[in-house]
Amino acid sequence: MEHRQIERDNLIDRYVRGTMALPERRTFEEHFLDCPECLEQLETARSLRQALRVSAAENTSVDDRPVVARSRWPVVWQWVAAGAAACLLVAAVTSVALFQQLQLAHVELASARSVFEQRSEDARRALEREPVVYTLAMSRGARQGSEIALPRDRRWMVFSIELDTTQVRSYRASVVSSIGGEVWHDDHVQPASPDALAVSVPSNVFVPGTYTLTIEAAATAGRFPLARFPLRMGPPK
Amino acid sequence: MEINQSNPAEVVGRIRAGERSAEDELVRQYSRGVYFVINQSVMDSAQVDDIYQETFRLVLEKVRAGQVREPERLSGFILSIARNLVIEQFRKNVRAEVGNEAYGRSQVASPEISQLDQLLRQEQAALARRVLAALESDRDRKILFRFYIADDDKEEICADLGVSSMHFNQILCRARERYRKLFDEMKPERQK
Repeated sequence: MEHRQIERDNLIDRYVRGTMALPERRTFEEHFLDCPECLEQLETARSLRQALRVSAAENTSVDDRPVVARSRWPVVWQWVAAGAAACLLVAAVTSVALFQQLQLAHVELASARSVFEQRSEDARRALEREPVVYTLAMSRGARQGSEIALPRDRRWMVFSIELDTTQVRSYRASVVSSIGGEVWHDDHVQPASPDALAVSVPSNVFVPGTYTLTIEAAATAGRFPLARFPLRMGPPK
Repeated sequence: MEINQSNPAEVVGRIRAGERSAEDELVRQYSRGVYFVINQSVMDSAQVDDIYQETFRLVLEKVRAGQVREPERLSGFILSIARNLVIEQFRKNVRAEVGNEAYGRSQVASPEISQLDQLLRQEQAALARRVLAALESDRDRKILFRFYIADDDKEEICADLGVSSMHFNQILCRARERYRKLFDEMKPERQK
């Protein structure tokens, strides 16, 4: 394997990000195992990637500025629209034949539509807002995590967890409130890289309080717990 | 330290002949790469060390016993041993967590990040911010964020930001070089 090819095909970064096909990865590993030049670049690339992630997480907690640029999130406003449409339907059905009651119904309908439009707009803006990223690190014996300030407006909260994901391809993530009850879960969290798992939770799931985020590996034989993170959600700053 | 790269088949032959210095040479030549490969999959530094030690123990044992069929492909041989040990470690981790769950233990044993590692991460994060500040434009910063944090594809980033593949590679290369330079400058201070 030549270094010109390695540079041209971005093998250093693709290896660090875990986006190489297996045969190519094997060949590259056999090359760099005793290649000081490639190892230096690999170590630098991995360290830089990790440092950027830590920096992004610190920036988010310090000044509440989201850093993840990409948003490919489910469209939740459809549920808001369905609920508001249901409210409009009820208002229409319950109106009576008399003109005054019909007028009243019209007034109620206009008000509900206004609320629906406002909520649709809020939901649309929530989707367009960049998510906030938090890096979670595992530490033995941790009972209580640092406090996380909830975002001022509704947006996605992405919890980036350092985890070896090379052996398991599907995970379940759930959030349980300290006062009891599961408040959110996702049964099909897919890893985006071999060393990290990103769990996206809508911020409106949380109110200030204590929660536990649980990660389980989903295997054929069942689910196996991998990690639990205590989360303390504080009021927006 | 400059390490002279020996021919793998020659090293294997010398180890089989009982030359102890050849064993040291093998470990020196491959230790950095083996550590990197293991660390790419395993986060816990204690487990990385254990797997690293066990890898070389097994490699030397098998080389002495003449079990290396293709000495010229010694790298592949070493890698297969390391990978199998990583997989076995992961199985042990999963079995341990199932055991915890069976006994109703709520706390999941997790790798500990030492204070020193935390300090190092903070220092590295500060270097990363300096690298970002030194970039020529917001677009270059966006490229780094999207590629290294959001894990977006290179082609998608280039298409979205109107950047050629070569320019993209140059930005990453410059960022890595600058980071490396800053990291190397930091090292003498940390050693004081």
